[in-house]
Amino acid sequence: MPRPVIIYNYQKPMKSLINGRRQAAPLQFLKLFELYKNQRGNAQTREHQSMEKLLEVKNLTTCFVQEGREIPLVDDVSFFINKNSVLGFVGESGCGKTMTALSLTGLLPGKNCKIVSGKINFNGQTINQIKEKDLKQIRGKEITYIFQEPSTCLNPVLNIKEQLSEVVQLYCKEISPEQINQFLIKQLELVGIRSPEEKLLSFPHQLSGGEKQRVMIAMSMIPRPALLIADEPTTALDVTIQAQILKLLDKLRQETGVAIMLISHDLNVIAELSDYIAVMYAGQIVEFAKAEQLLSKPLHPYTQGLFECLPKKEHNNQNKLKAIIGEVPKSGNFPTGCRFHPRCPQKFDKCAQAMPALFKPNPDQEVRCWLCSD
Amino acid sequence: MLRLNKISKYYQLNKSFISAISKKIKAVDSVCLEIKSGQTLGLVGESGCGKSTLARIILKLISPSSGQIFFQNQEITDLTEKQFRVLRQKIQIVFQDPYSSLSPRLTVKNIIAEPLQAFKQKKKLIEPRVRELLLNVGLNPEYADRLPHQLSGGERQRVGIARALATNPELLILDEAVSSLDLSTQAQVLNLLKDLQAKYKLTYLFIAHNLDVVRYISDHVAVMYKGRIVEQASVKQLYENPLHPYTRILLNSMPSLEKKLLLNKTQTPNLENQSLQPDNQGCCFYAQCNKAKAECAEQIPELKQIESGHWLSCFKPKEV
Repeated sequence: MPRPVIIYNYQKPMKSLINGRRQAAPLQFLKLFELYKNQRGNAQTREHQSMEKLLEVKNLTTCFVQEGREIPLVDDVSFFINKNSVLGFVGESGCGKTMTALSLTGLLPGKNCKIVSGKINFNGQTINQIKEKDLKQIRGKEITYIFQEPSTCLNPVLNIKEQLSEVVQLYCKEISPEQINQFLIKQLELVGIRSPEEKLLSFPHQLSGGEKQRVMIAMSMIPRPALLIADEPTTALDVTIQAQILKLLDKLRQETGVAIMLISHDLNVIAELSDYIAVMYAGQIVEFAKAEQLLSKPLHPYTQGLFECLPKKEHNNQNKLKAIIGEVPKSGNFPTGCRFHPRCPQKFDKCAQAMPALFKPNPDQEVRCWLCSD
Repeated sequence: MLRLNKISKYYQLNKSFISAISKKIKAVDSVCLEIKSGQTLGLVGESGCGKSTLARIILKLISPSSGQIFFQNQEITDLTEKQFRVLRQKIQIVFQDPYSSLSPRLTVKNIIAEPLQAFKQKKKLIEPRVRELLLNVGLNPEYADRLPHQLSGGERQRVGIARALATNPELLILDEAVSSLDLSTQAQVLNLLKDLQAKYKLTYLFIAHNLDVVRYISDHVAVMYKGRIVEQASVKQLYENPLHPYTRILLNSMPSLEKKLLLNKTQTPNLENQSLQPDNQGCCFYAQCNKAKAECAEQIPELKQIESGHWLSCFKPKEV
């Protein structure tokens, strides 16, 4: 597990905020908020917007370099996210979902991890080739993150207000210090926190798991990002709270027009929210399709296997689950040919010999399997 | 096989001279349960509702404040450690996190052999028994000399199961045993548990929060909320006809492939921050229930059988 990424500046003394910086032009933040809402969340424009590509990743390869050897963590991954839509990333642990997400904004842990090839196109900019200084304008402002474990991502010695105002200070310069309190209350209300005035002054340990995750969501929504990357946002939460957080993410998508990249190992969670779904296995995307298409007719044997692993109503003592045999291979230890072939129930000779390319059996579906090569 | 009669576990708050009356937190509150031999009881509820405390009470790792535990028609509540030792072989547990529940410095062989040694198994019998156990849980016997860090999550959980099976138990408590596993390994382990149950006539107490998994493995399900059992029924009854408002909320909160959760526009009530209140009167779900009546605040509804095998603790199940 990589260290949680700090998307705000800790070095900046908090005093500068309290003592008051020079006030920017007095813009009414509430008006601003309404403006955003109208601009991005309008129901009519949504349909139109969701056709435009916000992020396009082409042939991204991220490697871990060890003793001169390159071990691919993310291998030749291509996908896109449309504006105001949700892309779900599903796969088992160690498949490279999180590494893909971290590669997007250059947050890879350590010097040994690096992007070897590929292009990441965000809003017309190739962001893996720009300077770190310019990237900082995008990361944390245009692209924000929510991580799995909310309790480890919040600073335990600062109260919620201090942590949230750092984001405001960095990215919403039009909000003056006097307005901050009111603005933050509004933000906490937006993510459904009860009695926000009180909660602003509490510390992370005083909040429940669900509230912490809501604070994290509020923090990542403050700069009004165009893309929100939610990495297992509900895995650590109870079922009832998970349901609320999923509904909240859906609401935020509709109201603010943000696009969401949702990473989860739970197919049910992915199915609830996603417009497009990418299935990852051993560092590669093995299937990428429109959600309805993938859910109704999965083509890759791994995707089919995942669906069959889900316990359903019709399963009972006689009718057992069909588990995929074996385990996910470790990176650097991938089998030759198709990486899934040792576990695949439908394998044939060709699978062990050559890696299949991404075939397009339907216009909205890409599958990395020889069975779809015709 | 196992019967719990009004088991409670209270924890004292404010243990000081100053406060005259010390408050009590009811971690587990008069729980009555029954597990029949060879069956599986699923226990569901949110984190902090007392599921694991109950498991520990059954194992006698902590002693209950009141109530009785019957195991094979014998009361074990007040047995001393020495007297209970014989029975301890019959009740075993598999823990949630396969990473922290196996000692990193012991080989797989030693991990599985430990309960055998503890119960004075003859030395020359241990090695073949470990081999047999490894084969039973679907691991290659060559794994015996490996260390836990060389195994994957699913393999570790299998070692945990093999260790629990070492003493030929009759009741196996599975405390979130598949929660931390990946989807494909989870399915493998679930199938393994079913096979083992059929082979050795095991009885399971299956604690989990994933309702789909519980439906798959259980014969009966008990729903727990704030230390109390609010509903208990057979799988069919509970999933097709849930009666307690909390059970309904739980079932409605499950995300599904058919997008039931987001299509369902009704707001899921906020159950956050409902920590255990000391000495509360009335129904434990009163504050969150949207159909609550005055009597719900004053009296605790008892767990009553409303139809054969369906137990419920709610005053007005029909109206809800």
